[in-house]
Amino acid sequence: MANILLTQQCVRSCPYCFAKKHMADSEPDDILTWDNLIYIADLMEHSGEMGVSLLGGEPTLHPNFVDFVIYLLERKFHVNVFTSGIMGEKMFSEAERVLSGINPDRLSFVCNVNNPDKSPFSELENVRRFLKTFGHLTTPGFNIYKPDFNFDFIFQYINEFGMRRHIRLGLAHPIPGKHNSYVPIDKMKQMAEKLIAYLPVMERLKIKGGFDCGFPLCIFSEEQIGRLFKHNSGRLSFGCGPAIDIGPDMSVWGCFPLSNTHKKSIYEFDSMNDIRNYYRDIHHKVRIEVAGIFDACDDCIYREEQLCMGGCLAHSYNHFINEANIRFKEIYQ
Amino acid sequence: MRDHILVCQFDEDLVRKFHNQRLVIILSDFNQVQQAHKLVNDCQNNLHCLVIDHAGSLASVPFHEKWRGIPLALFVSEIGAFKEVMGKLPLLRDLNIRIFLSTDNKENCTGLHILASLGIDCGVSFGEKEIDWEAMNDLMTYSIYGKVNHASIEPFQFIARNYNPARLTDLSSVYFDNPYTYIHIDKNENIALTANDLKEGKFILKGIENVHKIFEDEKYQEALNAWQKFLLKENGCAYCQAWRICIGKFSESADKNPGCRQFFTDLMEAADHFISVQQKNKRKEVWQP
Repeated sequence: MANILLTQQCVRSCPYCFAKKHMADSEPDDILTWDNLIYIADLMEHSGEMGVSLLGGEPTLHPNFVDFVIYLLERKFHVNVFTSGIMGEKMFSEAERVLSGINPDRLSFVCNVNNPDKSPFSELENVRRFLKTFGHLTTPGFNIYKPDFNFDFIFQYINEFGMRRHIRLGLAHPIPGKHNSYVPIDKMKQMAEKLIAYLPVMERLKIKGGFDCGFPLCIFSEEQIGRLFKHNSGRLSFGCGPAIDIGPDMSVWGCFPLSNTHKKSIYEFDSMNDIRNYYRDIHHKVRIEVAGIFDACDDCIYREEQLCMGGCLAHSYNHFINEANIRFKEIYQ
Repeated sequence: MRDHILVCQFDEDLVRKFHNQRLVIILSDFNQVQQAHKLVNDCQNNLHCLVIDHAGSLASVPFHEKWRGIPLALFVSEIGAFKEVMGKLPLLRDLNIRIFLSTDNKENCTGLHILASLGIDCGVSFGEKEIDWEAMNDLMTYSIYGKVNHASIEPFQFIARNYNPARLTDLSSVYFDNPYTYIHIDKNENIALTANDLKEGKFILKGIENVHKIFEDEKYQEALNAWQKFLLKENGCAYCQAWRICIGKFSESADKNPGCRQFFTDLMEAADHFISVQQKNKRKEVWQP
């Protein structure tokens, strides 16, 4: 599923944000136009991809956000919106009136929630208002950016607002050459322990936890893998991209942490598959140079069999930042 | 030689005078749609299209279930509130309608793009303000080369379907204003070759009974060949290769806004492409029992 950026502005400033670099380099008033949206929708439909994610920045900052959603629904796309849940009064009323009654099979939200203890009151009020109306369409998302984290508050959100009983667990990744908060490689096992410690309460509350990309398999012990396997009914993923992101200026790149590298124009490709293959090929080349985030990734049988991709590629890129240009040239572009 | 299609304002007395005639009726009110349709049929005429020029937006049009099957050409100022239009989309898709948006509003190229992508047949209505030929070219490119199924946008589809490098292709037909196919008549039975001529009182005949004699009229033949005068002028249009499909329609603005040359040249190329694709996809036809 490709990600379409409607805006390049955000209402929050999360310490782990891996879109930070991209946002800083973009024009804040650069928003997706109708004509570009139609072009992307056509390209996706032509490629047989009928699912689309809308994100930003904060996608609801786009003045045509609601219109874009109903347009895409009318074109038979499944629309998934990544939002902070924080939106202005006018946009919220419009979204409530038009979108709250849409069939959950057609429209869904992922609301990335931060720990309320560390969020301003006004932000919390906004998130609660959003969840009160859209909770039934919303999966909570939580980004882990330090080994010691706490998402107890999400259980309360799920029960209070009738959210989907699934937590989308993201692992914050480094932006090569830049500073953002993420779990250091040597603390990943500690983070995994903490995560596993949540399983009993999640099972009791019948809440599933699904991994976003970039979790390495070997940070979990054999026993932990077994517990995760049972918890997620056998659906476990330790993959890494390329997720295809499309900017409002029709630039395209293979996932946010790598937005600084290999950016292309969408017009250079004939299908989503072409784009995906292009970035898959680059990722593959990078992984030949640096197999994964651990040294052991080099000859790991699970990586070879693609059960695990060796963690987020952004970690691998960090290897090349300060070295002389001795590898294949595209890696430094 | 086939009979002309007559274009007239909706006037009950005038319509009753026609018999077995193909008609384009211009309405002044949405309430006249069913009435005009019924009257044309009752008088044993053939309704080619009802035309409504609405000063408001598409969102403000009171579409009606009973309009199903009635051929309509609706000229509106803009799309208007998108959510309102989306609410009417299922009915709009069911109607035999083409929506025209004017080039006078810069947003309308995008409006047409949206409508066509949602399966609503639509068309460009060339206004009086300067035309953004680049935006027009983008729209034409989408209309002809777009890979995903979408509804037609006129006059691009008309040109693509009818283009013949060996003769002129007049896009005025899309606007019921090509004297080869359409002639205009008022309630006093004055006959003119174009809507503008009728408005300015430049009549060539009078009386319904004389309609079929128009082919013999010298003025008619002269009007059909009026385009030749352009070629005698020493201006840009005479030397423009896209002449065959624009026929000097934008000659007055061409000096100030010369983008029309590139646009119509690209449109001809697109028409060539359209024809070649059609020929490639042509199925072998076997005799039928």
